[in-house]
Amino acid sequence: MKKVEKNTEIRVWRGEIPVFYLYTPGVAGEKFFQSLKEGKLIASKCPECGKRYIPPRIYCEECLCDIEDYFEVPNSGVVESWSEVYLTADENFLEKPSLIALVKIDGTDGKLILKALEGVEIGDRVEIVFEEKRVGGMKDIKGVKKV
Amino acid sequence: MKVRGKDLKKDDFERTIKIEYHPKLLYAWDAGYAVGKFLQGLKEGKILGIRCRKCDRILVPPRAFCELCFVPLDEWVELKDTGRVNTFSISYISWDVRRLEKPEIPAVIEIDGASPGIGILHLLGEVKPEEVKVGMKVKAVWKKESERIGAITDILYFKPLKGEE
Amino acid sequence: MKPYRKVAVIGAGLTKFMRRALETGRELSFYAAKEALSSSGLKFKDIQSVVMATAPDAFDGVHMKGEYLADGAGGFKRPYMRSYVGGGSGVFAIIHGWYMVASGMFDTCLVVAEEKMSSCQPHPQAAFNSIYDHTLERPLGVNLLWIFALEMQRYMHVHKISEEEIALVSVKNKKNALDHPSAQVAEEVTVKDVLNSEIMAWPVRRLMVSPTSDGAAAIVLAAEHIARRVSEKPVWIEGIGWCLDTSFWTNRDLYYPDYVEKAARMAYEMAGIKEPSKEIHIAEPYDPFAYKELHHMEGLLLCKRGEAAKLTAKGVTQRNGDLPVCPSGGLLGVGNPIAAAGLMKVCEIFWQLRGEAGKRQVPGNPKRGVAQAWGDLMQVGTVVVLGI
Repeated sequence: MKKVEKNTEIRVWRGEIPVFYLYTPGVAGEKFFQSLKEGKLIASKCPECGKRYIPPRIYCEECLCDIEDYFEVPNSGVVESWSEVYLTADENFLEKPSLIALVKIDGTDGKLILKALEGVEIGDRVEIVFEEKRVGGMKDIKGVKKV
Repeated sequence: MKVRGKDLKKDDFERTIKIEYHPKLLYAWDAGYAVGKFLQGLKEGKILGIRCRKCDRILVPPRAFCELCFVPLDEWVELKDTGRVNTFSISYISWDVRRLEKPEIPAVIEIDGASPGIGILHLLGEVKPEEVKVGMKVKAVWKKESERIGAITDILYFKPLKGEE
Repeated sequence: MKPYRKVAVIGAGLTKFMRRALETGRELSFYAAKEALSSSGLKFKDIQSVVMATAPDAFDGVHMKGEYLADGAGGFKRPYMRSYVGGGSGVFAIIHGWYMVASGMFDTCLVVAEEKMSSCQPHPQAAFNSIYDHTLERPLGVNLLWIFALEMQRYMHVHKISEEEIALVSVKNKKNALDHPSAQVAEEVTVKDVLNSEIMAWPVRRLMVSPTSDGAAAIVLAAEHIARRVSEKPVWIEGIGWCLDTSFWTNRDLYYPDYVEKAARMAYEMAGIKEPSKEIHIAEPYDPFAYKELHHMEGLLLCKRGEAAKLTAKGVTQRNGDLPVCPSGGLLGVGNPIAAAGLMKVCEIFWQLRGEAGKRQVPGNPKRGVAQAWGDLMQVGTVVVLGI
């Protein structure tokens, strides 16, 4: 290792990787987002092991078989965990801390991470509140509130 | 054999629900010991190379260790700013796949003073695309001293050296 | 020869190769994995390990892409490893899978390769630019096409090969691909069409380049005792090899892929092959650009340096020729979802050796084939020799 004599010899080169992304939600994801647009939640069920997926999938991860059975589930669930968030992704402080909850959706074996519109505790029953204007995406869900 | 997949035409892709994501991918890359000194050399209007005592190659771009002999290097050599075109291309497509009116001419230029076959990537200028040949002798065209910052772009491009074959 | 457990390929599957798939990367992996599994005679519970090959995270736009794709590829709660060496990943994956089984650690391995390039905007090529050195090359406004154009130019210059001779490869592969069910860009073109197509970065023309694609491929590997029990015609992995050259690519003479030769020698030695041009019956070298097929044929020691173009012109590399090359249609005809493309070539050799390639079948009962992939900054060669 050589000692650096002149600090003008050390250089940092700045740059960026200028790409952005347009993700397709996929065969199952497209159905899920369309149903969100209608203010509904759907899940899919594996014909072999019966596992119920939300967000729905076209394959079962346990059996590696095709899933074609989609069904509607209630807009409700149970809080399994929650947190209060203070920082944004680039570590700036949020004006107001936000609350998020991990909600097990009724009638499925899956969970969704959603905004909590009020303080919640683990075990609370919550209902899913949709936005008035919906476009077909996760933002169509406003958040959850206690039942 | 079942072959599955739903291909979307450009319009379908536009109409499908999509999620847009703009990551902020900004970097500050450490130049390191060897490239740092190389960039300093460029600022001073020089192309620097480095010699491996074991295999005797004189290398550019310089590096902190010889990748063939796996020994650290520290014997710096000042090279000329002339060289020969090893290979070249005439590009009509920009980095983001737009069509260019005036083509760019990238080339691998073997620098005089370095070992044979040892070159750098740069652009050719002041030359018509149809006149570029492999083996052509070229010389660097530098930015004005006050405009050099210690970057590969301190050399604007390499131009043909007339009267030399 | 060191005593290794014999490993065979017993199933293979592909998705369609497409410009923009509706399916997510996971769904594509599932399609290929499911097809390979169905054709193998094994059930999902028999799969003991999974290898996933997928190239830059920057294409799909998912960090930790290997982990993201795991459940679609059958990697749920199973020993799962990701294999990545750029474009060479497709063949690197089968090499990796071979290790899983030959070592005795696992008796079966599901090998999947996936790519979804269409997510990357404004064009997947922009993500590729990060392959160049960030300080000394990117500021010049680089473009992926440059390296290929520079290499093609050097190859043509050293061996005095003409554009027409290279165009013959595009004509052959795009035509061969008309018989491939997954093909994205199969069509009948003439040498004139190729030479009239727009210049992208001279000497590279549009019809000499493979497209960007979404797609997946998968194969199932099994140890000898299982392969003989469940498969009528197991295809044995006889040799593997891989080699990486320096990333200081401007310090190398690009006219010859030294790293492909080293990888090929490693594979041929393991397979006991002394004269590849006579003992190999089918070759699937990596052909992202038309000249690359010729470049790699020479690196694979299937002919002398500078001779590949002549063999192509004589028709030797056609399906009914003495040494069929890319009977599948290659990347130029079928498509180029980076990692999946290499594994697609392995699938092709699998079907050809078993006589199951349908309209693409090479006549004469081929017994031995070689598949090769290539990647990074003109850097890596990965080779596998298969035999029946």
